[in-house]
Amino acid sequence: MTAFMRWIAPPFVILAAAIVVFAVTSIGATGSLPRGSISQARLTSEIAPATGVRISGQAPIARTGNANANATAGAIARPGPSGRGNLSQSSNGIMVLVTLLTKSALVIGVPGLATYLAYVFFLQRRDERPVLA
Amino acid sequence: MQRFFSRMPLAGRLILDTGMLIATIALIDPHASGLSVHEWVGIVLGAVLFVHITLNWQWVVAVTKKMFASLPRETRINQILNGLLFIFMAVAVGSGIAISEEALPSLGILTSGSRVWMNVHGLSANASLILIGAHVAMNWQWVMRTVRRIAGKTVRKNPSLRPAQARGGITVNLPTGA
Repeated sequence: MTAFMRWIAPPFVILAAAIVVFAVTSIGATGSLPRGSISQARLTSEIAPATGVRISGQAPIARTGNANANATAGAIARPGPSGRGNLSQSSNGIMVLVTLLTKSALVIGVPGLATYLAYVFFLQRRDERPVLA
Repeated sequence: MQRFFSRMPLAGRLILDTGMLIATIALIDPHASGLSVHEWVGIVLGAVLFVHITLNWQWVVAVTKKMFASLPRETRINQILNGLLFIFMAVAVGSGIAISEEALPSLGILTSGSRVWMNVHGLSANASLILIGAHVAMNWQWVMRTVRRIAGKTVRKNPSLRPAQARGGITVNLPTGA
């Protein structure tokens, strides 16, 4: 296997495969391919920090400006039709860690443990059996 | 480039894979991490996924060539699991980009944010998490072997340790007079 086939081509193959998978899903889910667009606000630099939403009737807010003002503008301009609520305000402290570890133990750990036990008790033992003539 | 990746030590691969797992855990709850962190970590994880698959490309090619041939049951299950995991992760990252509210808009790219894509993202992400658990489990013995090998190498490189410590793979450097 040449260096090109080993290290250069694979990322492009993986990208192509991912695009195909995503395109098929998109057509299946929405009936069309997803489309993005460059916001007009970006072109005129009138962007609320971290939202990309144009702030009507307000002067452009500098990213290096007052942090409180930026945060307020961002909160006002945040669209929120998605129903995800305000996820930008992250909770802090040990509760975050506990929550993440608990959820990961449930959604990753339990299936992982079940798979591992199945692997050890069924797959591996069966493969280790001597082949009879 | 070939020389660089070929010589990428096992420790490097293990660190990369561990980092991917930690990133995945951080992605589980967007409320906990914050939406902006959730989106950027997801995008970076998508990029690292390319590196992960490229590093294991020889396995992918070997198994794909034998897609319709007979394979050991373990390899066949691994093939199916990894294929499904790739599909669900590609959809999860893609749909996450499609509903991005902070990362892409901050770059000036407007996204659809439709309810359909949110549902697709939720389903594919949850399926990916379950499959990641299975993926780690199927490769757990490689992980343990690699950890032992790395620990063994560390001990051999340190001549101040006693042979008994070296056999046990302990990397703690005790004073020579102890």
